[in-house]
Amino acid sequence: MNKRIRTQVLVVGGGATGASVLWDLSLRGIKAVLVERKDMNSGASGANHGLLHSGARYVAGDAHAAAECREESEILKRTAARYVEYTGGLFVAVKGDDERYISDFKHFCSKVNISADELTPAQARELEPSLSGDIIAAYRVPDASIDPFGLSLSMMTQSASTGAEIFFQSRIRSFVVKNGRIVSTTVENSATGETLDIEADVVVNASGAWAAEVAGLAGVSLPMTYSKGTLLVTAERVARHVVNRLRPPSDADIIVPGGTVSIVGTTSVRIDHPDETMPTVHETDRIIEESRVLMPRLQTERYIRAYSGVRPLAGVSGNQGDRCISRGFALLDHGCDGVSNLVTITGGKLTTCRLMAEKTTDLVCGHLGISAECRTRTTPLADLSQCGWTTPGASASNWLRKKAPKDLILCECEMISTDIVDELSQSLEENDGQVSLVSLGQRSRLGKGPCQGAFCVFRVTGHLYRNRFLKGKNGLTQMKAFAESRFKGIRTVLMGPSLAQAELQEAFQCGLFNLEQQ
Amino acid sequence: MSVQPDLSCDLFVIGNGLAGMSTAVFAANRGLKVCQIGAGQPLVFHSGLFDFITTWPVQEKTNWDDPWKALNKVKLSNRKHPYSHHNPEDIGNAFDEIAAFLSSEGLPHGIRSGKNSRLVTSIGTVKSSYMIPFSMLSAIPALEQKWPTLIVDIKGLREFSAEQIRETLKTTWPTLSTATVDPAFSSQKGEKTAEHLARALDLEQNRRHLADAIRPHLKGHKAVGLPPILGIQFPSASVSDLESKLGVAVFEIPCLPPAAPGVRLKEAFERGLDKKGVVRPGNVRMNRITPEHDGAFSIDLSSDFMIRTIKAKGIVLATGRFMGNGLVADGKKIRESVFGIPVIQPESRSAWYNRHFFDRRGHAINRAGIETDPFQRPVDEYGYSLYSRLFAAGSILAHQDWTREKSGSGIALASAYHAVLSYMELETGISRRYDIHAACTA
Ligand SMILES: Cc1cc2nc3c(=O)[nH]c(=O)nc-3n(C[C@H](O)[C@H](O)[C@H](O)COP(=O)(O)OP(=O)(O)OC[C@H]3O[C@@H](n4cnc5c(N)ncnc54)[C@H](O)[C@@H]3O)c2cc1C
Repeated sequence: MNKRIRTQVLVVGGGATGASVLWDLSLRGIKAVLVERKDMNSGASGANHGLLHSGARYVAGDAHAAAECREESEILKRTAARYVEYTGGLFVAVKGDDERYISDFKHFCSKVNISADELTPAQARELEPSLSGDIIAAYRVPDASIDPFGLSLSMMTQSASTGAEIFFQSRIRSFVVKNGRIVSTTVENSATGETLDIEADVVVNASGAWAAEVAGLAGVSLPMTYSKGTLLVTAERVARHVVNRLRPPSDADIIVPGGTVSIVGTTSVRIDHPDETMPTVHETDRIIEESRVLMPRLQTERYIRAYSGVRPLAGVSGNQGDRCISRGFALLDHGCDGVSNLVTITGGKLTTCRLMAEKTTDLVCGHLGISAECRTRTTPLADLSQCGWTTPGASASNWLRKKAPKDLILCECEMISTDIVDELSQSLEENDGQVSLVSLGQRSRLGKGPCQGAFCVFRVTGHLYRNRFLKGKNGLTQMKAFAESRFKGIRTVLMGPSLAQAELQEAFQCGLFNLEQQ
Repeated sequence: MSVQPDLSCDLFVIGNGLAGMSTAVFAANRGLKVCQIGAGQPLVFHSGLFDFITTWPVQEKTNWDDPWKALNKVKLSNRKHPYSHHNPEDIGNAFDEIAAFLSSEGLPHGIRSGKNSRLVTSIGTVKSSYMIPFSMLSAIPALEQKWPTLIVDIKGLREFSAEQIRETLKTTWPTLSTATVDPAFSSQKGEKTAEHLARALDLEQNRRHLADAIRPHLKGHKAVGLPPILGIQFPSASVSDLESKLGVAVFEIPCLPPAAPGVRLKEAFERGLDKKGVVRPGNVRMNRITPEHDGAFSIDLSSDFMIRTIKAKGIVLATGRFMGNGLVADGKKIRESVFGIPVIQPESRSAWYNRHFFDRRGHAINRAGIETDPFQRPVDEYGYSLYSRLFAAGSILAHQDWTREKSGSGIALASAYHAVLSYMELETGISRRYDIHAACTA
């Protein structure tokens, strides 16, 4: 017999939406279990722009979404202040951009109460000296950047501390549906192959782009299409503000600062399956080509990584293109599809994850016959020290603040020390997760600095063995998996000076250590 | 700013990696007047192990104990491979001559019966290489016969983890055990570097401290394996000294560079080349190279203090790949940085890399580089040599993938040797067969 557990609500998916739902349920005193097939934020929540939208981007196309963003970003700036950098945002137009759009922008913003201060091109360039000399118009809006890893990790950790259970590496295998209800859900641990049966009164499908796949397991068909978006990470932070192109949303028109780096993107390409997230050389070139119009230095900037995320589009889009229909969220009660206790929440934005969770939890409460008020609007998220290691540059300042004499630096680029690795590894072990380089990489900046892991991966692996977090030949497997996962990100941006780094890495990994033959 | 008098030389060597340094040795050994420039310290990234060739064909991951057999396969299956220009005798001579040179500078090496030897790396993998530093030689029988061996960690040295080696190898080498020591000589707290420790261990009293720290952990062990920290100047003497202090065999385990083995090589080459009168102006920029009518070159150098023109009868280009700046690339094309020599390369950037890093075929970009004629001279699109006295050596050469073949040092030595001999042959008109032996006795 499989191991069995019982709970009130089962949340499927460990992205920002699932984490927010778990957090909301926990604050309302409802027992919940979250299962995630891979790791925290391994879907779109770990592969987005990190822009906390003021709403300005949507004012012309979707006033409703714009207003939602305005309100939600204000809330997160208060409750998740630790994970938000209040950068401010600029919208700038260059010669040749649509004059009509430019002149309507301020009016549209004021209609949904988003402040937009007009700047002269000279003022804009004074704020952001890297901007192009071809600017013809500029506005300042209250955009900000947000660390999605810190956000999800903090919500999950706090929920867990009040009794919620979280299972990583646990994929939904099947639902047992009887008399129009899911009576039990089987999940399988991908590391051990063990299965677990979960009985829940309500199942929340928060599996993002995989929502159709999960709903399908309960016999519910959910028409969905997918759009892949690719982003590039620069080696240095190129701007203090979020910089948006003042034009209808299109390719490569946003530059978002994140700690010590900047993120440039995105593209939008239709794909058939949500697992197709390999960035291509073509997309990389397209982003550089487009974004240098805003900021010429992006032509020659050093890029350390590219990554892609998938936007789920519930329903089939019309002929206006994927960007026009994609930004709202879909909350579906599958009672009308014959499964009375399954709810799907998909689409939306990182910025609106709290609101999505509130609406979802309201619906769940209705199913459970509970009346409990939502408290996420006002309850601040705790500042958990281990969450801070994901913000670029953050570990450096933390480390300097509390350097203990025995603490050795393992990664010089990102100042990750033995203590940080120990702390993260311990919490990984305790949460039933396995200590792996890839999961450490999800929780810290490991391998994300300029050397891209050429040195630190060996040091961290050695240290993990020293402290018995790794056994047997596992380290070799881990180093290979880590190198492979980093390579997926750097492959398309390897050009110019970064080729030297790639060469050094291959000289170590293959030339000296023979890793390719293991 | 001073204008220095012109200097004339036979060979001007561009590059101070293994290929450039070896070129200078081969040329100076043959009485040529040599001037060499380089940037950075590429040799400190050398692991100390001189690979010849182990894996061929790369995609089948076939490993050869006998590199000479592998060499035959290379020649038969890839006629454009740099090794295809060289005969086995020359390659053997190149290794021997560099071994003799390094030995005379206090860095003896060993080649075990002309074969590749297997030894353990600091991450617990087994690596096969050809010419092995004396300080690592005992690692070969230790692994072969699974000697009861103590692997020793130095506290604070992050590039080395004895536990990692023991755990990774425990099924095949169960008689490994580990200990961590914090020897008294190292006053440094926190992070220690292998180079710092190695410099300290050039001193006898520090080796005594190290031996004292290790001795209590010895329980029937036949050997002690350490990170490469046993001296910079006299590693072989240090190893022998520690062996007599401990009464067991001692060997170093190659680890992540930069580390002592690379520093030793760099310093040994520099010392030896200075003795041989090779001119090595430091910190200079090369502003212009002008080919003269007679096939010679005029090279304008400058530094913050001086400008100087060098007249050279020939040039050896040993600038390496992207790390050495021999090759440079934007988002579209790969170029050769000094002469603009045509670079053999994939059609477009999309073809540079495979989707997976560990793809068994290796990446196309690694086989990009410059092609040469049988005299080791770079050629144009039509296969004609660009200049009559311009030669190329080392990793900049096309049609090889040294990290996968394990052929980096061998290609550097063989092509450097071949370049120097070709230069002499062309200059004197005397076929090389006659002067090899004379050279070796010189
Ligand atoms: C390129 C791009 C850029 C973006 N930029 C921004 C931005 O700047 N600002 C903003 O506000 N929003 C942005 N977004 C949107 C935002 O990223 C998403 O709306 C948000 O992350 C969605 O979170 P989620 O939890 O719903 O989905 P996901 O993060 O995708 O989470 C779904 C999770 O479900 C798991 N799962 C799937 N199947 C199963 C199964 N069978 N069993 C168990 N678990 C399963 C997956 O592994 C995944 O972790 C961007 C999106 C993309 C693609």
